[in-house]
Amino acid sequence: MSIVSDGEVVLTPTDLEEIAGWVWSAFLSEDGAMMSPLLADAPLDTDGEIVHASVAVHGAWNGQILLELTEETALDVSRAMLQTNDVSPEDVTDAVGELVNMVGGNVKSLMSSPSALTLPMVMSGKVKHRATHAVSEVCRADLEWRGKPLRVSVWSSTRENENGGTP
Amino acid sequence: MKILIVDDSRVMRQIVVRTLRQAGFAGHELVEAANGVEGLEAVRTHAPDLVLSDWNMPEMTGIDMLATLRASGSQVPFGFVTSEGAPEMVGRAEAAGALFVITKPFTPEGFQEKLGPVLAGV
Repeated sequence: MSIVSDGEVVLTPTDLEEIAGWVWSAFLSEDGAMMSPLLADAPLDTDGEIVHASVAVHGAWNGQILLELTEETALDVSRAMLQTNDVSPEDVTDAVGELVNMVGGNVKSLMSSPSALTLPMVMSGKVKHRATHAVSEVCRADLEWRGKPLRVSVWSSTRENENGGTP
Repeated sequence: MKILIVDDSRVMRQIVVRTLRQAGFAGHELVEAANGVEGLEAVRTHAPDLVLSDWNMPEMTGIDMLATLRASGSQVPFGFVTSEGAPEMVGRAEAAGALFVITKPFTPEGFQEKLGPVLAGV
């Protein structure tokens, strides 16, 4: 699944699609709605108000895994995971955090080891993620669930910039 | 039969409960705890027949909880339900005394495969 090049593990968008697909099909497919690569040419508007969930990996590989989706989609995935419409804002944070935790745990297993996974962090609002000298995007997957776009991305960081949070 | 579910995510505890039911393990008494510290207390209070625990949790991790249990002499059957499925994590879990590791995301079939023999032997 992953390719090792000069000691650096290279993760592909297909890997991310596959991992996210496992997570979604296990816990979010009760109504038959499956995760798929983004079909419409309308990726997530990351300039708008969105929910950002991340986990960091520290160790032989340092980086972060990020899940971004609209607040409406975050509410929908929470309702689907709990199988009830009666969800609190805490449930939404919890559910989205668990999703990125599962994606992150599986990404971690493909990267150089040993390493440790942090607890998930979830934020809402306008957050801009950009590459710096210490952080760079390894790959991303623009996906679609129930016709709504969402994005999963993996960022590699140097040890100086490994204190969690978003890139 | 009493099963203790330890996970800091309420959503995940709900999914574990649902998956136990879907896997044919309905009817067991279920107890929940939100981290390793609460889990240790729940083992003392409820004397479960099986512990299903997350790995990464605030306050106390699942692996530290397991080590504390074994150091205190408790041999309660213990399995991890975690996103940490890398071989070295499975090795650490088994070395600490875990019976199995179920990797998230999981399925009812995965629960049947790992829990069936354990629950049959309790």
